[in-house]
Amino acid sequence: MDARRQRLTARLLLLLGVACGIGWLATLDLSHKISTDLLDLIPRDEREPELMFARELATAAHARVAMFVLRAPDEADREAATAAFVASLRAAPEFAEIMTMGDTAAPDALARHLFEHRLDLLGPGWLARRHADWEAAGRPAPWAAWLAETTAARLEAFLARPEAMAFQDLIPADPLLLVPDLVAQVQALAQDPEEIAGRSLIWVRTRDDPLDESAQAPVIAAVDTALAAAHAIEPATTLQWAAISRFAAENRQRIRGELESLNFISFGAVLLVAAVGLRRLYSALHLAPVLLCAVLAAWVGATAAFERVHVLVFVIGSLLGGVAIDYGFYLQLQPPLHLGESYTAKVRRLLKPLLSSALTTVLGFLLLVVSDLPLIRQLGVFISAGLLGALAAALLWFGQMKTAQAEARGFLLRAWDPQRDLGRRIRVAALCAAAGVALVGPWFVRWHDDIRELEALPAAMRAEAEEVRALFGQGPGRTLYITRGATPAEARAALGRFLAEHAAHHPEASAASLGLALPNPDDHTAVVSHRRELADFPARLHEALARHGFEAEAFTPFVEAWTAWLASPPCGYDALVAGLHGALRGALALSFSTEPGASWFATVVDGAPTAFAPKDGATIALNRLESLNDLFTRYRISALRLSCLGLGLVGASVLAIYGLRRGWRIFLLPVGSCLLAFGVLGLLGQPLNLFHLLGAFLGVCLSHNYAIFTAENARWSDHPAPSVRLSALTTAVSFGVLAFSRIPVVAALGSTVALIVAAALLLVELAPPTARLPRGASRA
Amino acid sequence: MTKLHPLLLAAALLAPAMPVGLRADTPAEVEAATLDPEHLDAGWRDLFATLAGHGAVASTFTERRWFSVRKEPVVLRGELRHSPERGLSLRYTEPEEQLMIIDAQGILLRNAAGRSRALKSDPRAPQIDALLLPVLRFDLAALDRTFEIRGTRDGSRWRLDFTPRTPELARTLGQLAVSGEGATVRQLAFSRGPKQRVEVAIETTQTGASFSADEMKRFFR
Repeated sequence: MDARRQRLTARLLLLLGVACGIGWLATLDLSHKISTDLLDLIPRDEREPELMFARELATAAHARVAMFVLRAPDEADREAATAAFVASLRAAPEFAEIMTMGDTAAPDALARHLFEHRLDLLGPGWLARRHADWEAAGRPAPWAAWLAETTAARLEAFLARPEAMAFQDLIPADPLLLVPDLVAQVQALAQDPEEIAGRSLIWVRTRDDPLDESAQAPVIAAVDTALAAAHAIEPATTLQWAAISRFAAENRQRIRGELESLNFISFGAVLLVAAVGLRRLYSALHLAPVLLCAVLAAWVGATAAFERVHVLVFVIGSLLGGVAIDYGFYLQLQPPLHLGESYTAKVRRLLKPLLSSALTTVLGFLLLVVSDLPLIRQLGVFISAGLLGALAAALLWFGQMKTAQAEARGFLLRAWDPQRDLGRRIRVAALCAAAGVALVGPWFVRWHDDIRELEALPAAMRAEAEEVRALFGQGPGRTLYITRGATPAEARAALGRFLAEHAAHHPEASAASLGLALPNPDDHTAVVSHRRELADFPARLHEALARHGFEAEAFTPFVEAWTAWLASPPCGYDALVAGLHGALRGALALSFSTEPGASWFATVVDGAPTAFAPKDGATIALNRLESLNDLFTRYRISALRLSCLGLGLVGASVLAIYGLRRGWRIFLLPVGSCLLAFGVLGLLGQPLNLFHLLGAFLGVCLSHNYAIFTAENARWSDHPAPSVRLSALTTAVSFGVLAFSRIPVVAALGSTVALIVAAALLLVELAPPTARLPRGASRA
Repeated sequence: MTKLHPLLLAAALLAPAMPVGLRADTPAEVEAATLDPEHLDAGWRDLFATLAGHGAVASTFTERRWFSVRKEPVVLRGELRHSPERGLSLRYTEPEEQLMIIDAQGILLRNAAGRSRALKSDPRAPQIDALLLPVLRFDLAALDRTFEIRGTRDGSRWRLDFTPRTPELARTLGQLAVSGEGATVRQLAFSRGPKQRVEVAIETTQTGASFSADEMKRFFR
């Protein structure tokens, strides 16, 4: 093929590829394709039940809850401002339900329902417990008489307890103490008034899915309007609020901002260093198309391979530029073997190191596709596709140019022998120090996995959310358990088992659940026979109360209620559940679910989370953050295994391509630079996470490229390839800039890659030229 | 359903510290006058200053609770400890061992086995420590914000009647009265009517008491 035809072919292929890529992206609905939902980073088929349930909850009504806290210097002004704020929210169509802590509607509705249906809801459990006591006591008297006597004695003892004063109006209608017993059991569900004093708390349920981008802005605008209404009453009113819609919008905005700025900075840093390192500025611009094609290929690859791609992949993937530029540099800067060497001949000569470095790196990253974590899978495909795109684009771009040669500036071409220039002692000392750090430092590495690092939320907003949630009773001092069942009856039966087990393990901790307002299904069934046996209970109770010093006539309200209860047909379990659920409003309505096939009850346990794990699989601790952090730890370990396997594959490939002796020397550089970087991080006490690990994998692949190019270059030159020096410098600078990102994930990746690349460059420069040359090989 | 009113609960507790039964030895027959903290006569000013300056107090008490459903009052006995810094601690010894602590964090119940239970109340209700602890401290300025205060003296005997300023508080707390002789509080009572009241008779009283570290741990939060 003549040179002109070769250039035309390269140009056409390049244009075709770019057109196909852009065409593919144009067909996509990017708002659907790109997810900003943190939960999309968790596998849909996650094996841990609490995580599956966290996903379900997060996508259900719970995710729609928004919590507001208003403060003002003066209490009267605060109340007026709160009223204006709430009125404004009520006028907005974005909100389905609004409640303030001062709103009596919800607790009153529940209290009224519980009182009116106390014999149906609470009576069966009470009768079952008393009947068990009667059996345990050996049936000392007829059932009704014994029950009446026990009830009177229990009531007498209750009146001597401190809380009795609070129930004195209720006692004539409830001598069985059904309601006081329930109140004592569910105390933990109540808000601590001391904690919320001086604030107005407002609970809101939004109408639309908070993760739907189109629904987020209207919610935020409506809150701004409501705050303006509050400020019109009291300008000093301050608002704190927590809502998934707010955080999702902020997260997305900040990630998008980072995406734009990171791409710009990364791209700019690469071009800047290239411009400094190359004799002609315009030759640096030839790298831009290569980078753009690499990013295009990465986007196409990721979007084609996955139904939804998380936006973090694109943020992290923007670091691809640091790797993709290697091939362009190598093709551009590698001098011709002789004057007039054609591009085809040069490519044929350089193809082995180019393919070796690219394919082994791609192989390593493709291995990540088998990871459990969607983010890692998507990153694996994104970077693999980007690298292949970069290699193809570099080959084609320089292939369609008349001259593809660039010249590096003198400082990049300077030949030096560290042994001669530095002195043997300094070189040995430097190598020993590096070896010491690489061997000792990694032992000091501390791992800390925190899913919140995936968020781009500012620290102040995160702290505000934690404060607001704590005021609404969702602080770290409480543990939430969820007990599930196919039906409400199944879930209630499981709840009974869980509470018994929990009480046995932690008798000092109070566990509260609104599920206790429903009878255990077995007790509900048994109550039919109790009703038959207790027809004369009011008469026996009258006698017993009189014996215990009560004004028996005062209990007429109870006798009337009992008689009416016996006269009415037994209430079905489903009707009981529906009635109770129907009486719940606001946050209380989210304390249990009656969905067919997925019923559950929430239980709040006061006190810090414990290691208590219910034996019954129906109940799970739903400490979501801890669960997700554990998940990240598991995935980090999984990623570590995969990375080691990938590194092993890369090493094996190098050994296969370059032979045992030469391959081992090549492989030593990425391993050594990685250990050196981890050693530095370990000695600095920097806690590491999954993303340091991913950064290390990327850095290893980069240093692997440098090792191959350096080894190949040693055949023709006695100094490191200028492309390696320039590539390492550009990468170190661009990733070093990213180490200052506001997104912890990006900062982790940036700092790790920059360190590994810097370490690789240091090791390359410290190695004497003879060490770079393969033993027995001679320069061409 | 009747709500759990911490104020009523506190009434039961505070009764030991000072339940009110208008007994014959209190100057009830003397016309009580409204007390304006800004314009107290020297007698009342001195009394409030003396009572407020008692510091920590340790007493024994007998509490009588009248319920509309009971023919006779329920009688409880126990020990009262009040620390201006740590709040009020009521240790009931009869008919069953029970400890109740009212402090800035709210109400805490602790049974004989040592198991504690914080009582959380309706957050809409007024804060118990803000309302009732000033009574124990004889913090006139704080009391005047919540109650209309009427007082009467007959020689060394005196009585203070506290009428809540808001209907909600009046409904839940009822009337509160404290009576005594000289610098000693003798009686405290809460009343929501003739059949619903709590009277606490203060028996031995030690003012300026100092509680050991062990007592602080046992009887306070």
